[in-house]
Amino acid sequence: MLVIKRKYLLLIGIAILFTSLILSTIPRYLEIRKISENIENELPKLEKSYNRYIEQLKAIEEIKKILKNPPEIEPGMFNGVRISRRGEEITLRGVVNGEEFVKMLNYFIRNPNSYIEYINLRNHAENPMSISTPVESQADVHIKVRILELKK
Amino acid sequence: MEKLNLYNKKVKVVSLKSAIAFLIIMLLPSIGGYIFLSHLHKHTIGKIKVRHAEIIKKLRLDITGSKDDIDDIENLIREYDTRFVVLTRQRKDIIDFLKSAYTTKKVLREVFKNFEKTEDNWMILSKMLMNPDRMSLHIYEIYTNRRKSDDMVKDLRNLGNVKENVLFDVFTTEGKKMSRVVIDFVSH
Repeated sequence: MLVIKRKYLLLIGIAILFTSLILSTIPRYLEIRKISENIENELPKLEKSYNRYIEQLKAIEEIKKILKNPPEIEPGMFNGVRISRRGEEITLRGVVNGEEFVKMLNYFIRNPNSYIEYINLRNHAENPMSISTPVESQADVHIKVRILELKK
Repeated sequence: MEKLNLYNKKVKVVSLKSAIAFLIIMLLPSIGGYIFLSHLHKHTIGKIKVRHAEIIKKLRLDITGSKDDIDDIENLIREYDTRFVVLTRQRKDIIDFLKSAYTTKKVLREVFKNFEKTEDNWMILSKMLMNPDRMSLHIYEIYTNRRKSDDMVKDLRNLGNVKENVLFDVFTTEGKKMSRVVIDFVSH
């Protein structure tokens, strides 16, 4: 019959007890502590990031309430004016009378999503433009309009 | 009959079966320790969940207490920081746009409200150059008593620096005067 000395068995038993205790508990305890501490530290940071994102989002939503869709443009909407658009810039070039010039200005002034950032107007010497006598007068105009398109 | 070993130098031994059973028993404390630590872990995570219940609920986080949780949280922080930066830029762009729009619209309104032909005043816009922060106007004016362009200059002074240059101011027929004025405006 296979037997083992009691003394050796006791020594092996104690060795297994301590080794398994050390190997199974200490690393596990350290891991648990590390994970808990990290989660505990990271959650407030996450809350802070989330809150400031939400605040910024609300602020933008408030601003967007006063804005509308950018002005729509189509060829021929102003007599004698060529209209082109490049990104958020609209260019208008042509020969206009006072009435058409005022119409153009008003169209872009009234839309909250647009403003005129450049005007170059030169009157025709023989037939100078006057806002108050709109039909007879003419001028070369070059207007650049900046528009704001809201990204969703 | 009882089996007796009367040999005086006998060695104390145990059977292999008993030895294995003994060794398994020796493993039990560590298994117990492991189970205890698992419970401790769950308890700790439970406490964390209670302390940060608001954000966990808002973002529907599934905190299990694994290493993946930390990666997930860090990724979320990065994501919200990036979104914040994008929104901040967007907000700044909108505010800059609105400021520019407000200024230029106000200037244009102040200028063009004066172009109205009456018995006493008639302003003719001869040349206009406007950039985002400055404007130059060349105006002819036929008037009886006082120039309307002076009112325009007065209004524009509330919005920026104005330089008025009267190139000529002469009497014409029917007791009227004619002048040519250049107005240079720079916004504040």
